[in-house]
Amino acid sequence: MGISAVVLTLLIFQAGMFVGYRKAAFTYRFGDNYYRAFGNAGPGERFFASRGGPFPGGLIEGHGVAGKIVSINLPTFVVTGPDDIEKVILIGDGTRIRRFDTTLSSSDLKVDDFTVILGSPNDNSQIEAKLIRVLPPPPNFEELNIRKP
Amino acid sequence: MRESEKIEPLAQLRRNILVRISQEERRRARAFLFVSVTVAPLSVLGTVFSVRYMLRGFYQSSFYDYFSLLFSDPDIIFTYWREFVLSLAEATPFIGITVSLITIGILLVSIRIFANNLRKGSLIPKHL
Repeated sequence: MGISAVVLTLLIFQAGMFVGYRKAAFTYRFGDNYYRAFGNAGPGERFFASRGGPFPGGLIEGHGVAGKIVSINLPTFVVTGPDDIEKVILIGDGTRIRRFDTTLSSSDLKVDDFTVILGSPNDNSQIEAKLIRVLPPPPNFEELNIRKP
Repeated sequence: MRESEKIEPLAQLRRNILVRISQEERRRARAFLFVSVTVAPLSVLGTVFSVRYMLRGFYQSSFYDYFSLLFSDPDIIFTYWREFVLSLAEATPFIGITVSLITIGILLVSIRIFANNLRKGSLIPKHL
C-alpha cells in the first residue's frame, strides 16, 4: 500500500514534469519569436515578465487551441483563445478540417469561425494542426475571452 | 522479594489514576472539538470558493472543447491520442483542483475529528 502510493506519487510528479516542460518550452519559444517578430529581440523570459511572471498569465498550451479565427493567410491562420493569446496554426497535408459531419478544405475557413484545434507545436511556435473542428461559438465565449488580470 | 518488602498501594490509587485519565481525555476532546468547530466552517467556506475557482478554471480553459472532440471525432482522436492527452493535460486547471482537494480534505478531517470527540466526550462518564 505504502509503496504503491509512493510509485503513484512519483508517476504523477513525472507526468507533471513532462507536461510542464512542454508548456514551458512552448511558452519560451513563443515569447522569443514574439519579440523577434516585433523588432524587440530578446530572451523568452521577457515574455514571462510581460505576463507578470510565469503563473499569473499561465503557461501557454502548445498542443491545441479553442477560439475564434482572427486572420487567415493560408497555409496559416491565427486563432485567439480564452487566454487572449494569438496562436498561429499551420495547416499541413494531413490536417483534417470538419464542421459537423462534413469535411472542409482550408479555403472554407473564415474569419470569426470558432474552432477547436488539436496539433503539436513546432520550432517556430506554430501549432501544426492535425484536426480542426469548426463549431458554433459557445454562448458565453465573449465573456470568457476577457481574462481577469 | 520477600513478602514484607512488597509496597501496598493506596486504596484510592486506581480510582485516582482513572479519574485523572478521564479528565485528561475530556480536556483533549474539548480542545479538539473547539479546533474542529472553528476549522469546519472555514473549510466549508474555502471549499465553496475553491470549487468555484476550479469550475471557473475549467470554463476559462479549453478543457471542455478538447474533451468534446472525443465524442465528435473519435477516429481522429484515436489516431492522435498523444496530442489529445497532452492538450487535455495542458488545459486542466491543476491549481484549482489541488486547492479544492486540500480544502475538501481539511473539511472531512475536521468533521471526523468533531464526530470522534463528540462521541468520546459523551462516552466518558463525568464521575468514575
